[in-house]
Amino acid sequence: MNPNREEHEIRQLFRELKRADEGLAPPFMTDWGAALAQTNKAPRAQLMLRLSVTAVVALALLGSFAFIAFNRLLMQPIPPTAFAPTAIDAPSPPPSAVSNTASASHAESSQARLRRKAKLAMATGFGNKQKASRRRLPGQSQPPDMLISRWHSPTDFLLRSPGDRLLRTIPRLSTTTADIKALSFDENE
Amino acid sequence: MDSSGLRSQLEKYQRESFGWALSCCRRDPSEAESVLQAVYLKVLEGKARFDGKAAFKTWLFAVIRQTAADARRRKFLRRLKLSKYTERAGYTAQAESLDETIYRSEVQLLFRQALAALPQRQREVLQLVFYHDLSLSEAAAVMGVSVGSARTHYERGKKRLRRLMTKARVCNESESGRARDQAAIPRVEAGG
Repeated sequence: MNPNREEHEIRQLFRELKRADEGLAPPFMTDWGAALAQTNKAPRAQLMLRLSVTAVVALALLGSFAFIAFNRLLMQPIPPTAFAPTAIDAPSPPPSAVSNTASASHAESSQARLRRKAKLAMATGFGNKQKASRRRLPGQSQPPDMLISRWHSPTDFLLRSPGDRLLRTIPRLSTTTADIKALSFDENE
Repeated sequence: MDSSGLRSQLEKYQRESFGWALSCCRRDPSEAESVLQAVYLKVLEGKARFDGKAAFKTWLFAVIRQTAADARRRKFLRRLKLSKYTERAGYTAQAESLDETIYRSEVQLLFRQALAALPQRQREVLQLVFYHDLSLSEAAAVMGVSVGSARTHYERGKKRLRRLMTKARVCNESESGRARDQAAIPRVEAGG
């Protein structure tokens, strides 16, 4: 086939196609108007999107701040009196004194409150001992476990033997039996 | 170019733009119209700017081609979500109605079918050259390929189109001949 004739035929077919398409083409104003309407809609949609994103971010920030603040509140240092060994070691007052003095009962109730606080703090804030020790400042109160190690039983003296001091000291050559006896008697007194 | 000048240019090329959008949207008029609206929106929002490096028509056609490609991609993703059966049935029905209403001539119908069977690049270059009267270099600029590549697509497209048209004609003639024979047989039997 002759290439020119072939091209001419194709061109002819395309021309017919173009003529058919032109009938389908919408008027310019229809498409332009629709595009204009969408342009007016677009800023409002963008504004709404921006507002919603900002609200979500603000809520997230607020939530995280609240969480941090709550955590800090729980981890506030508890006053040293809460763990003071005196609270446990102190000899219990005679029953008559307890019943008579209102101040003594008030002190006891405050001690009990402090103990409850300490327990709560151990259950919540001080769960992770390592973290707590990392955050602790030098001047701050000590954790309860160290204080417990220092604790002595109130009946500890019963375990002491009469010649205990004598056994714990190194005897000198110059001392006499009388001195040793005197020493042991002093102790017994 | 100021907005009024831009608008008058767009108005001038409205029909041609629609024809090109139609070609980019596989001859779907509603999709072509939405693509054209999207192009105007891009122009209005300043997302597509004419910088004067190429002819206005070349720039506009490149924007249409890009927008149609985006729309096609979106449609494909949407189609993945929807049921295949429904989508295919709807598309076929639309294509058939288009055939019946617009392309009544038999040759035009064959031509349209052959054009649809061409690879995209070949179809595009033939459309730009024969339909929109662009030169090969302008067509290459619209398609975003080199002139050499556009020329290759053009030559191959022409050859393939001719082959497809010939094949379709032969098939059509043989089918019509068979139909004529089948129609003639009962007449002979009835006569005998």
